[in-house]
Amino acid sequence: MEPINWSFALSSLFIRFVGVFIVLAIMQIGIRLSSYLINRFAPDQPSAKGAK
Amino acid sequence: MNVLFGILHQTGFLNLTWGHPVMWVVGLFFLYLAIVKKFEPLLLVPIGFGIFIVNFPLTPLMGVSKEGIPELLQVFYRYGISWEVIPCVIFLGLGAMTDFEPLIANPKTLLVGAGAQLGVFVTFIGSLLLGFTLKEAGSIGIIGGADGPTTIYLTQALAPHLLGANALAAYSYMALVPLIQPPIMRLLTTDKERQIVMQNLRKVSRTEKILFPLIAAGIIALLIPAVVPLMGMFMFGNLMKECGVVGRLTETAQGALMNIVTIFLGLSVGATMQADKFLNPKPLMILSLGIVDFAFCTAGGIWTVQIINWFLKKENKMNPLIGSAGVSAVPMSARVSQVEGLKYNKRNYLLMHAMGPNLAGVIGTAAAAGMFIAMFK
Repeated sequence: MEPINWSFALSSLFIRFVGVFIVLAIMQIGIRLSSYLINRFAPDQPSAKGAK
Repeated sequence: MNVLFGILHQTGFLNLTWGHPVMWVVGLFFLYLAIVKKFEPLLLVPIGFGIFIVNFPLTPLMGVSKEGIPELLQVFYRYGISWEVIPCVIFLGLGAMTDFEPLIANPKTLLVGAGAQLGVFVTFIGSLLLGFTLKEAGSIGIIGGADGPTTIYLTQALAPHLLGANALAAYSYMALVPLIQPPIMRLLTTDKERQIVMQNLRKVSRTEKILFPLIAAGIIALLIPAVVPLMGMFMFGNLMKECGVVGRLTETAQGALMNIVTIFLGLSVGATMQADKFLNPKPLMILSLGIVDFAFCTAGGIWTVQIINWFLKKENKMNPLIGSAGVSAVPMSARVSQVEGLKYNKRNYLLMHAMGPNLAGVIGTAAAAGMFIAMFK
């Protein structure tokens, strides 16, 4: 069995857990920004449910 | 007499080992759960039958013939799962079925989806302590994300020998979400918190819905390219649905295509669970770790809502019961939030609010999977 480098495992684990937050936070900003721009400059009617 | 003995050798009887009947029981148990208890029947029926049929000796299903031609289930497994095609096609179908409106209307729920990945990382450490390797631990951790295709995708990339056990743990616990989550939700929230009534979500325009998959795919492709095969297909499926001009393609992705790959996926996963590979302590440890993983993911989502609430005005506060929906298990965990919410306030309809964290959980689990792939590959 390969020996485990615990300091590598734990530190990189922490960074990656924070990384998940960062990715989703950036996505949140992207959604907010696009929603703002659309509603400000090109508003349209709310979509019908389940549009096909 | 020799002829008779030769014929007997060609049957399964003389090649049976003690492990075969044990695996029949395992397969039949999953069929029982699916057929009688109605737990995830679309997946557990093919998985259960796959486990059952592959555990008869001499059956030409998962091997390779003398001429080098892969046998039937080996073909499904090799081209569908080893090549990581089926999980991505399933995500295409899921995307075509998903309405992101609750997430777009309340984007802060994306953070709940991130918080609900807590169990993934806690279980990673637990798995290492139990003697699993780093790659195995990564693949086991993702079970708590409650996302079957992502679990399969990551396990195939990091620890393919654990595929059967991990997939089975993920789908089994997803089916058990209504039993696992409520006690944890009650334990971590107060009566007052459970009665919080959330504001109605705003309407989302068609343009926002069309742009969402493009923005999400772009951000994911830039930040975690390792999961673009999964998330790219997910967002493409959603774009087909929302753009409204490819109805036939959307219907196929939601229906026929999804059903076909689900059959291949279930049979292939079941077929990986052959007695000689499956009957060792590791699968049992994975099942135990899986439930701990689920518990921590549920708790992580609830705690994230409680932390976000510290920064929100009273009228904008979120009900922490929607945090548990941060484990993907769409839409079952959102329904659990709804049912629990109604128990404490008869006028509190949390379903649409819980769909936000629920969808964020799908993206969060894929992000966590991408992090693990980047870490080890």
